[in-house]
Amino acid sequence: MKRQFVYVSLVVVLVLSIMISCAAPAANVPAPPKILKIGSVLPFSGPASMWGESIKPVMEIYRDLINDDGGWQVGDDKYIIELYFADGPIFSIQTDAAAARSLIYDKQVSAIVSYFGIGYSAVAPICNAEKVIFNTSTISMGAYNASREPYSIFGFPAVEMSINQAMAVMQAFPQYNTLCWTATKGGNVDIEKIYAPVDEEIQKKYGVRSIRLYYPEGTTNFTPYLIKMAEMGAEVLFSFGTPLEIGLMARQRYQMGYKWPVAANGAILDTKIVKGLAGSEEAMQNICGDFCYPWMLKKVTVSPRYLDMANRIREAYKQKYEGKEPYAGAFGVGVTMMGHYLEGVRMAGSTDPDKVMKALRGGTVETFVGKYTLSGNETYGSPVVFGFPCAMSIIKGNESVYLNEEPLWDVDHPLADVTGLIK
Amino acid sequence: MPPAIFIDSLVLSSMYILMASGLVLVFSIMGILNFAHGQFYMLGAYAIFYLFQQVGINFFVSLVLSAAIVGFVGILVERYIMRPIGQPIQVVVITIALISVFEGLITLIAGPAPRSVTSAFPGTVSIAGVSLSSERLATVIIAVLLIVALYLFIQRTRLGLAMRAAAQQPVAAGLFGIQVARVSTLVMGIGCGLAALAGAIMAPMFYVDPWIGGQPLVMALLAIVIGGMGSLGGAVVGGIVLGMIGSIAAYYIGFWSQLISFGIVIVILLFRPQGLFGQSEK
Repeated sequence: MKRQFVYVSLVVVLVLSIMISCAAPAANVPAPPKILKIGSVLPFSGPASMWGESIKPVMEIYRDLINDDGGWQVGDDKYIIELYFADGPIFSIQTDAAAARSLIYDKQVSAIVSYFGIGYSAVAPICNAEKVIFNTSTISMGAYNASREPYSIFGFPAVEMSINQAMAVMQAFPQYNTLCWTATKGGNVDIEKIYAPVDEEIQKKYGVRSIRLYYPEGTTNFTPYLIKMAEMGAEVLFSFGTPLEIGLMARQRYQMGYKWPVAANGAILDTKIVKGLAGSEEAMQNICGDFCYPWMLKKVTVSPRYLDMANRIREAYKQKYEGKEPYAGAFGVGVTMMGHYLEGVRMAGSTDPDKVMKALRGGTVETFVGKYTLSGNETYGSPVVFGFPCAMSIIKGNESVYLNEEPLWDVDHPLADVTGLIK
Repeated sequence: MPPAIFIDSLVLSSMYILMASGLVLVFSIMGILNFAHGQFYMLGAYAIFYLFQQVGINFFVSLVLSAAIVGFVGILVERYIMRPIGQPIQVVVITIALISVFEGLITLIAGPAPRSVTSAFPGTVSIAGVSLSSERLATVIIAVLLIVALYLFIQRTRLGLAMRAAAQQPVAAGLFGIQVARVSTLVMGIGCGLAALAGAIMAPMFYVDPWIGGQPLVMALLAIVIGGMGSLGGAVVGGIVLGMIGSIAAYYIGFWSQLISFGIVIVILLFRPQGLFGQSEK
């Protein structure tokens, strides 16, 4: 009987201890991590695919490093970042919109960042209807409607940036005075007339004469245009073209014996790729491009926090990709635009899109490329950034090296009014 | 007009003539509009990329090899795809399908990234004080030699005579002992070889990727419509007209130049539906 009592007691104690352990408060069990889903529509097909393919791995490494650190601090919580990509070939508005839909409805992202295509008018309504924050470029912001699109951020000042990038190049070549702006022209738009006040202001402020020559989409034979540019007195070209167009333009200008610097607002790809597009090492000389490496900037100060992260990204990238440098454009567009949203979330202490937008409007955030001041309701109705470094590199030999920098003006800059784009 | 524009227009004309000649040969003898003709141009560009650029074979030898290899591919297509199918409409549909087949295959083999071919004739030459691209001058000279050789082959050889006979009266040609099926195979090989030569000589000036065949095909079609379907002389004239317009119009009116090419085709067809050198069916 006594033995039976002992056995029963042991069983009861065992069962009780199991029950108690199961019912214990979860204090010692880590809470499941919170997830912050971010989407990005980048070109992975078409003539601009090289940009998307070069930006994506840098963004992925940034995500991995944040997650390795335990996640992104939002209030008292740490959020693990999930990053999703979809193909938006830049010139295909409907495809870009479909990409945004897939990110929003299939992946449930809370923001779409780093978009620099021309499909704002198609993508923004989709994002804004679902309160998904849309961080895009000013390139197609003519379609922006402040009252209907309160979740749009123009975190990549592409149009304004191009002017300052061009001026950075012109200042690096004081012997040259005439700048030829060139790009694909869509439709019967009188670009010369639209930009006449800008060109006048550039002449006044920088002493640079602007000429403009545009070509039809799909052009691969630039010879007639290059001859025309030469007759117009071009000394430096600034192109808004794809890497392929820049390469062909550089190649054909070399074949014709012209030695003009050919500048582009996009960053220079791996010089091996550029050499392939330009046809030879000689032809690719003096190609200039965006150079937003945080560790190379000379006129813009990057905060130690972001400089440190940039160096970590650089090291991780080099380790993963056989010593190659990450694509400079990924810091101008990819991780920086991703960073705007992350800074907004951090400042808001919440992922609630209304709180994030409230924190961003009129605020100042640190980024990989310096301190950005974001506009308030007076400017676009939604934030647009000021302070972009507009740094440029140039190809010398087989390397892309720092050339010059002309940081983007702020809202008080005289050209801001003239462009009609800032205000 | 600057001399460089004239040379540029001749470069474009050369490309269009070589493309259009191949297309016309196949059409006149086989009665088939080969919509995959642009892909043979693309294959020629890849052939020169691998032979000249990668392997390092002499440029001219690479040109000949490119034409031979792609011509052989054309022969295989004619012998094992087109001939068994037989019906012209179905064959035309098959040529449309071949566009995707060739583009897909090349994408799998070479990847989608654009490639470039180093210039075989770097630098510039000065003629009467005018600086011209050596590459472009050489391209024009090579193209003119090829066109003359093609003309002599068709006009002065027995095989050329057989081709002309098969094009004009295939049944009568057969009665005279000409093996029209063999001639068709040969013509397909020559036509594809010409497209390959166009791709190969243009590659050092432009770039190479699996999708470069589209525009040359459209321009070749325009050239043969201008010149007259089935007329080799018409293809040459059509190619020259389009090349001149393409370059000169781009120089003078820039953005609108592409519209001019298509506009001229419409005007010519309105007033002369059979093209400049085509025979009226009436």
